[in-house]
Amino acid sequence: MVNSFFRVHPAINIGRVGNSKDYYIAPETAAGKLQDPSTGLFGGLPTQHGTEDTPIDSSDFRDAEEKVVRQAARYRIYAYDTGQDTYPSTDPGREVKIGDKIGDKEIVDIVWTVHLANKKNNAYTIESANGIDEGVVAYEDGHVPPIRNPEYGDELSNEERLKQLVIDAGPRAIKSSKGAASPVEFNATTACCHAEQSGKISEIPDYPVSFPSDYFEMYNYDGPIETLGQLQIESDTGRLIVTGGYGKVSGIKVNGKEPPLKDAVDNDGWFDDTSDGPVNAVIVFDDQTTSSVVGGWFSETDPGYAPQTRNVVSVWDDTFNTWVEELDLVPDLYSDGKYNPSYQVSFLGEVLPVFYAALLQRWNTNFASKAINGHNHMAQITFKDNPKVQIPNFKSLIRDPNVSEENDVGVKMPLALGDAMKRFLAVSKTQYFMLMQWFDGKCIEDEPAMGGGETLDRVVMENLLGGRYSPGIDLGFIVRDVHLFKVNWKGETGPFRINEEPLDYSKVRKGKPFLGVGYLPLRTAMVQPGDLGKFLSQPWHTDYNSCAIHQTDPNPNNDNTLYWSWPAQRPVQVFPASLCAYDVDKKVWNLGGQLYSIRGDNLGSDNLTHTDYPQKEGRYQEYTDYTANWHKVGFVIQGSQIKTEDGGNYGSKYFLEVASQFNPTPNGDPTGFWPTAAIPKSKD
Amino acid sequence: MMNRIYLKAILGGVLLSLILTGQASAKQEETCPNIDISGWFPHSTTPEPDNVNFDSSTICNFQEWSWQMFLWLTQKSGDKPRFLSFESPYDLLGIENRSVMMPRTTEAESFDEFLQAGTDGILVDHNGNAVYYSQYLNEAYTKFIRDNFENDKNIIDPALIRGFSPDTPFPVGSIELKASWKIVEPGEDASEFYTMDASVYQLANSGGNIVVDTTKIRKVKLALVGFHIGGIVNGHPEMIWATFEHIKNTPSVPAKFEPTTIVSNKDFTFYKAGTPYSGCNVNYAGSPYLKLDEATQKLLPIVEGCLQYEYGNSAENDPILQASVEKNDKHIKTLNKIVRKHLQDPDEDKVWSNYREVGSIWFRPTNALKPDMTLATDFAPDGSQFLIGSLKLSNSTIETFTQYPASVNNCFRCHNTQQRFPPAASDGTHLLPLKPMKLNISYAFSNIYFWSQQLPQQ
Repeated sequence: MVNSFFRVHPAINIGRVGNSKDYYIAPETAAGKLQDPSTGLFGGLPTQHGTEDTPIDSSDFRDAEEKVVRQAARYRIYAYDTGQDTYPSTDPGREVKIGDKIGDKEIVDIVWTVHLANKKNNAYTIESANGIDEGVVAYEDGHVPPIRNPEYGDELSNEERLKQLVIDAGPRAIKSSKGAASPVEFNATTACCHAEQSGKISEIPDYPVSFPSDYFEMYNYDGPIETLGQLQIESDTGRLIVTGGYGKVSGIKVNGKEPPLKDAVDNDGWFDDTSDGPVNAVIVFDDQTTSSVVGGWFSETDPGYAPQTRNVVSVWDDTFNTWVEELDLVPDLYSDGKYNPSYQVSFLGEVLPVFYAALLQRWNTNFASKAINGHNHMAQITFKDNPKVQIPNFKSLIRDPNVSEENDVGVKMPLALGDAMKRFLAVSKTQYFMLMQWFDGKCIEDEPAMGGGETLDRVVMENLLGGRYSPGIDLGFIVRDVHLFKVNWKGETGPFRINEEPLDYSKVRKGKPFLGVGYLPLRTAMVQPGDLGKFLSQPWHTDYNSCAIHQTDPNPNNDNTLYWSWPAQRPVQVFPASLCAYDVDKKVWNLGGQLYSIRGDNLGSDNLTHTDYPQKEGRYQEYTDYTANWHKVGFVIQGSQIKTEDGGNYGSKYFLEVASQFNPTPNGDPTGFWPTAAIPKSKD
Repeated sequence: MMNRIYLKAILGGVLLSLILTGQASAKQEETCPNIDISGWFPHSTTPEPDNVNFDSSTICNFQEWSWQMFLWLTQKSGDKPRFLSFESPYDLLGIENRSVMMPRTTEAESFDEFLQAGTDGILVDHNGNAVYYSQYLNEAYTKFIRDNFENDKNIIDPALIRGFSPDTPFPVGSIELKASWKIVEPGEDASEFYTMDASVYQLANSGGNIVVDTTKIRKVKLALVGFHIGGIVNGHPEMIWATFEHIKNTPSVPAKFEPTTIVSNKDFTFYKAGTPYSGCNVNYAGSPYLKLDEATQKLLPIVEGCLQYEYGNSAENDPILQASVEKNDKHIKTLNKIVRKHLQDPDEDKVWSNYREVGSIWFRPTNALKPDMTLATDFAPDGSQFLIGSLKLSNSTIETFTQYPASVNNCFRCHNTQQRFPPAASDGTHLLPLKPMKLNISYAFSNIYFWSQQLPQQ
């Protein structure tokens, strides 16, 4: 026995698809936080493969064949000497590796088990029967939205549905002691296996691995879906690296032909190769005893096209809000149903990231100078400044999430689309409280001390899109539901852990589906592999293409103004580095104008993104064209990470598009400046 | 809540026809003009409107004020229209232009404004020239600024503005103006326009942007194509915002349209016959498609302009607004016809008959201006009508690119009393914002505040 607790960190980590076999490591710094004040480098950049913390540069988004490099999730194990009863933990913990001592024992191995699945086709639709994206509300009072693929059965528990519509690659295990040997594939030909509590890896020969082409004649873009990714061990560190799928998309043929792909989020019969599932480990000591480890979770989603752009509301903000208000995470901040008016917020931790998030939106949107000036002003505010001088009407400027009427007020900030029947995005209630504490002078400068493991937990979620889950791009509205998490977090477990269902592989039966319905919002069923991703778009490609600019929904006064869905993670208008011009006299780079990020090739009506309807700008007009061309879209990265002969790089003040494979000359429709407005169609 | 508000609006609409309470609708308004306007003519004798004793009781009164003010401002005073003798915001600060915050060194002011407010858009005319803009402030306005914000060195002191009462409005009679000017090419017939010889700063490519070149001046003839009036009258510290255009600027978009709708089969100054709606008001600014040939000072592509709302209103409106909209538009149409006919009299300078009122907009209640108003909707919090007149008012040459989006499609959407964030200072310093004040209704005022922070004397 050892007296330490072990946890996988980050608690949740994110892989991102790419059509390359190569990968970089998921960011371990937060977008919207200044990483290096001396250079102005912002966080959020992934880490170069094979390095501890070297951020990628513009040359790392594509491989030697110009394919999109995947984002891998890296997991570590931290040891804690005491159980946790506060957040952040008073015990910062320490990362442990093979060879480290825990008391008088030495770690000789870490055996990891990961189980990946995709349940998107055996799930409920994002839109309720009433045509509204209701989020968690759709699951209240025993209700559920309509079922996807109803022709295969009207219950998610239907065995044929579970067997055919769930992509289940099964579990795979890998030992850290094996080092960076060959990756273990999540495909049909690699044996399923898992780590026993003894640390032994046992094969599961009868595991019912399932891929769509096992049951259906599929129409494939870029080949069939044959794997959900790989496991491998990082050289020298023994950490686990999980890579996911390749962005493939595949539909069940209808009458021998490509099935329709017409909806933004619910497309029956269409699969993608994203997945999610638990990341568990067993620590083996030199005396052959073992310790269990509190597990983490892996989830794979869309490419990170703008990794440094923080959304004003991140998954962290929504998750933290859930935990603060419902799970007693920080009693000093919130207890007995109310926020503590004496609470001192951290300027660097809670306030400035919101201002930086606002600052960064301009690089993915077509703000005119008025908006840019406002955001630039906010980002220049320091801890020493008097808030009431810097933003005199801050309280009327920021949309108050506690006042439902403000859902409808289009002049308040943040000015992006909301979800779940809210017209506009609002900061979380916790965010709002903390921003107002700063405004009222109840603020300290620094962030509270936090251990490395908990920092990773937070950073991952800070880099994910929150606030608007219609259905979301990284994780869905489920982060607002406490049933997703292990609520008894004190002691060994720690916060933000997915309420993972223990999977007993001894119960595997040949030919019978192993995974069941799993987690549903507001229900007590625990979380299985595939249960996080099933609340996202089916496939992800259609939603990514669609979610550029829209009118608000609801829109009771028929406001024709168009707003952004996901201005941080889904760049709409970008500044290509290739259009920038170098000022030889001043030795600086200057911007050269904006184009749509998704802009197709060629001009005018020959361009598959061209439209006369402003509400349809910045996307392919047919979803099938995006599924065929998603890998052409460029990436937005800070100018200092873009090498160039003139001046060395483009400078840290710009965030520019690189690595786009659309035609290099200016093309697509002109972007103009916000606001633009929807033109009614004759049939509307 | 929105549904509740909308219900209120519908109920209010029903009630409106029964109980026309409040300002601008208390009287029956069957005809407009409702006064004898013969005293406005000849144009050379148009008296200044009586701002102090302005009567807010009818919509017609506001449209009459707008036309009378236009006539008075364009009336020849000395050798030029009166408004050209007013000071500009630059004059008030004693600076040459906003790009170089240096003291005035030349007698004549060159125009430097070519970016439209809000969208940074550039209206490129059919000759490839940018349309330029100029601003003017009357003596009541400038005296108020000097009396309250000049320090003992006769310099506008931003600290005095920061310490000023947010509840104090501009005095009645204050006027701010913005004019839009098209460059007349040699040989081009501009006989139907008011024209003047002037100079504009040349444009240059710099840093990926098109900017004014403060070292080069271009002598040009300018033709007046658009004219904004913002004026304070009794009961309306928010200003009556009126706009006028040359009648041949652009065609008006029909009430029902699609992208393929041909807006007109006739040529206009800023519109080529047969251009579909999708080709109208395309904002190329910020796009790599927009190119400036520095040698010729010509820009491409040109912008095909269309006026989205002929009298600043759409045909169909929320029921609570509909009656006032119909009345407003009818009055403008009538006044335009009558006044322009007077201006065609043999004794008149006929050039002014080629301009028409598009519309004007103001607050329905009197003395309702407060600091920190967003003015994002046409309604008061209780669901009653708050804005009145031309509720979607834009000038096709001044707000070319913001005419259609509901969030910015009238003057008050931007001319509100919220705080103002500072622009980027020319020297990179961090300027302080402007707190919410009644005076913020005037963008000239907020510009004066920000520019005053950058004056080298400070």
